[in-house]
Amino acid sequence: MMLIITPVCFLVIAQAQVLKLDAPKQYHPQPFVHPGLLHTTSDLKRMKEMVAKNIEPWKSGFEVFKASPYSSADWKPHAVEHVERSLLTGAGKNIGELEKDVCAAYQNALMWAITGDEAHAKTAVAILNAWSNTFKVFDGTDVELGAGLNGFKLTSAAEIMRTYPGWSPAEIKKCQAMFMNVFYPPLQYFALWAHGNWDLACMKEMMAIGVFCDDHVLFDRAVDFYYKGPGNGSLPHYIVNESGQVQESGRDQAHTQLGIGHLSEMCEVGWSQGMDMYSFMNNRLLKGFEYTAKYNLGEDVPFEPFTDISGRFPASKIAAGSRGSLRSIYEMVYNHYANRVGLPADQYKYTKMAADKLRPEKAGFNADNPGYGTLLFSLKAAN
Amino acid sequence: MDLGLLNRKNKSKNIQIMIKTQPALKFLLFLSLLFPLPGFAADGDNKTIYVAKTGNDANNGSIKAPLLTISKAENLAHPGDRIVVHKGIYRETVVLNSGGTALNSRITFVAAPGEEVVIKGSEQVRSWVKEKGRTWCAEINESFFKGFNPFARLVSKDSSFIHLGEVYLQNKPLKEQKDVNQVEATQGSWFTTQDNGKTIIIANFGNIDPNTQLTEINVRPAAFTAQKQEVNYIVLDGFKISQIASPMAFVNGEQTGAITLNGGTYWLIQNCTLSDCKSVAISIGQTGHAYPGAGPGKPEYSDLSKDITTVGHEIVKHNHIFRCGQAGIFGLLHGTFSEITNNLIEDINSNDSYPGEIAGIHLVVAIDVLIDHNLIRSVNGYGLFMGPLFQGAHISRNIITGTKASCLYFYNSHGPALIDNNILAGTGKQTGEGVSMMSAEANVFAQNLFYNCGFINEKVPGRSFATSNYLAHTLIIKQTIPVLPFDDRWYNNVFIKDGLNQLTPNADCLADYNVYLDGASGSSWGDKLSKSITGNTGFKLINTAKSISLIFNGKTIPKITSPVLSPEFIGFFTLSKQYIEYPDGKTIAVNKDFTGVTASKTAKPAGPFYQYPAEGSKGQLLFTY
Repeated sequence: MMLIITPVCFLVIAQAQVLKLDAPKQYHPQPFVHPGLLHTTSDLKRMKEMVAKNIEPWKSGFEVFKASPYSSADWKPHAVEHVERSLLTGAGKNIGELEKDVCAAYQNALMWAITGDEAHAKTAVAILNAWSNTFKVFDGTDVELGAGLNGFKLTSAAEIMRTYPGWSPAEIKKCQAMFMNVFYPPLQYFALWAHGNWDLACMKEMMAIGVFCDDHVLFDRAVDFYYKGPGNGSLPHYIVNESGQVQESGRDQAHTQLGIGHLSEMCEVGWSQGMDMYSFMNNRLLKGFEYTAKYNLGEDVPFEPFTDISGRFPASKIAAGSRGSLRSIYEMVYNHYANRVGLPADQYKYTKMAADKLRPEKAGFNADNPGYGTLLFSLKAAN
Repeated sequence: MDLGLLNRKNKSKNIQIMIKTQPALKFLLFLSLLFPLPGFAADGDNKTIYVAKTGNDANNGSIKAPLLTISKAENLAHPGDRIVVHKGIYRETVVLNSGGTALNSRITFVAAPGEEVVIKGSEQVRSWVKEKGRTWCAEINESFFKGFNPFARLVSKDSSFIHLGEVYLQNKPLKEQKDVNQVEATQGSWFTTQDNGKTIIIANFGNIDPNTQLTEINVRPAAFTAQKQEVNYIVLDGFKISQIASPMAFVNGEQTGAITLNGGTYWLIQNCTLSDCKSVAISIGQTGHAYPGAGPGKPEYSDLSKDITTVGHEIVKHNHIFRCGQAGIFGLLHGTFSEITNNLIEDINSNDSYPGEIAGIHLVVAIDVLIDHNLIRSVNGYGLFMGPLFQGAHISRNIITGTKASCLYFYNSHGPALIDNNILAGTGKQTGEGVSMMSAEANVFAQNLFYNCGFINEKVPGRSFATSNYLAHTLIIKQTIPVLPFDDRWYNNVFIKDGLNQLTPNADCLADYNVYLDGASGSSWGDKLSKSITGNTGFKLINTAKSISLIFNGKTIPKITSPVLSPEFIGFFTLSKQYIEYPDGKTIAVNKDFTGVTASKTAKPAGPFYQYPAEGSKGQLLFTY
């Protein structure tokens, strides 16, 4: 059952948990930059050049990237009509197929941009077309996550491939229709009742679809949520204080890193579009990264007993679950604040330590985050 | 003529019958399989089986040769068959061993039209011996009880001295006493004890000699009971069921009633009268169990069936249930996709002796249930107890009055639920009860009339595990997270004497276009366009034996211009990802009143009537049984 509701029809409510969506302000009225998700033309050019010249850290970053099976041009898509993401029921029809295909599409798109090898372009486009032609229904108990996480990678692949002449305008249009008709509907209400990473999965893909489909309404809605959405996914609701405590810090460290990773990806997309979401609330995003990196590198952090904005998830102490398992999310943020912005080093100390520890960053967990930050987001050559 | 060798377990009309009977009969039977005998009303393969007090279980059940017991008819019935029972008192438990197979192939038990067919759970006792004073004594051998002795069982371990047993004089129950000495002092009472394997009953019948009057004791736990789960597609129509020693039903355990569905689905129970059921009259539940260690990863009730087509779909309509102990209708799970309509449920736990939770209707995991136009009154407990888990419930046009605790008690659900056009007369300022929501989220109250109702909206204290919600119109659990007391809507209701000012301020609930009368006050957080009027409404409910009417000065209710209560206006419920919807997914607009009139203008009186009867009239008839 597909519901597409235009913003004006939404009920206007006071605050918090009932979804209120006035038409938000226009955050990017000018045409979108393409490609303009995590990687702009200059980003892709940088990767291509550095890899070609064998310069570190991109050289090592590329080696791990290339070795991944998803980077292989031999990848064949396995598109289906119906995907279900349902962890609780243990079912989950075809979610594995989608997850693998979106990683392969994204990585092949990047391989094409970096190596120029057209085989990769053809593979990426084959995957995009297969799903565009086949995919009809996305449901399941966790569909927000399925559509958000997998959608973002697939949209990212599409955004890179739109410059490939071998992908026809008609095919691109079909791909856009798939995002609007299959991926977008399950995301449209966000997930106000859930932990923040749910909202964030919805937000980041909504933003990405906005860019890829040139849909400013969707883009604005997602960005507005980042700034002041009523759920746990907004920046102030997710990184809850100046210490950098995260809404899910009291839940476990895997979800915490997942969530702040999503936030940073939205900021990077914003940056590609000429917006500075990274600095909002005095670099609050960085504070979240510092706090999380510090704790996962083995040091203590202050924790304030906290009840989230949904009211459903009170936490009295930090959760040690998955502590120390650093996810591949640190290179992008480190490079932004250190090399783009040039903040004093003590402000990104732990983010840098985490990035140093992981370098070269390997794959993201499943489709959760892009991973491979060393290759994709390094801005400065190693000494 | 002995057909008694029909194998109870093997109902197929086959050669087995022929083998065991005499040759001539064999031939007749063979013919009857090909050509139905006169007297069998047959419809293709379906037949009608007759039962009468003049019958004989050795008969073939034809119209001219009826059976004597309903149980025997049950043995003979196949899917698609009808069992017609003639007038009289049947003292038996009809065990249903198997059911029909589809809606057009049910097994129907129906009282013969125009005839009073009574199924009693009791037996007569004529062996009373006069003792001193006004007491009489009966000594009953264990064999009389045939394996189930209600006088040897307490209702529950919390019930102190109250047994499942009951004593009736001229069809009225007598009152059990804690102490034998109280019997002599109290006319119409009794006491029981066990002595050397015999059941002793001491009773005070006043001046009446019990051996000369109809004196009975209950001995059977059910009138109709499904022998196992998966007895489906049964119709019970027109029976008077009484004096049933139904044991206590437990949400986390067995759920017996005078009619016990045992988890059966697609039943239709209509036009029946059920009275003097010790605990539950109609149990549409299935045996439950506790969920120790339940949590978000492993929710309560997650082991129930996930296929909504194999669950519930009961219709319980136009039944009169009275003088029961625990509940009129009770059950876990099979309220799902069911309809409970036009029932009169009254006198539940009136003698205040039943331990535990009492309600007119008590349903757990009842997704998309329709509870429409029932009269629930005189309940020494809750009127309607819903929960946990009643997402999609539609509670409409019910009249609930004379309850000791809340008319509506909602416990643990993410919703949404629609409560519209009900007339609820609560206990109000005395107990603060009327509508109680305990961790019940997303309830839409529209066009109701609340008289003297307290309003409570709270999180269940100390409850740490989370509550599930479902993908709309399914039994697939979507999320299991804590419930919060918000996302309610209150539109176009009439509040008399007490209003929403009692609710804790909640920015995440909405209220407006309500009318507050006779001292009632609105919410501080909503009700910007609501109206508050002083003045006497003259509200009164007039009860008769089978009806209830509303006297009301309709002129006191101002007209209010409110938006159409469309599904979009009421709003989308983002957690359960649905609007207020019918079970088939179609959205509900609240645009009809209690009488079924469709709203034509937006300026209309708030509450359940778009038009009030003229002043001075006999009042609005709300319900007739």
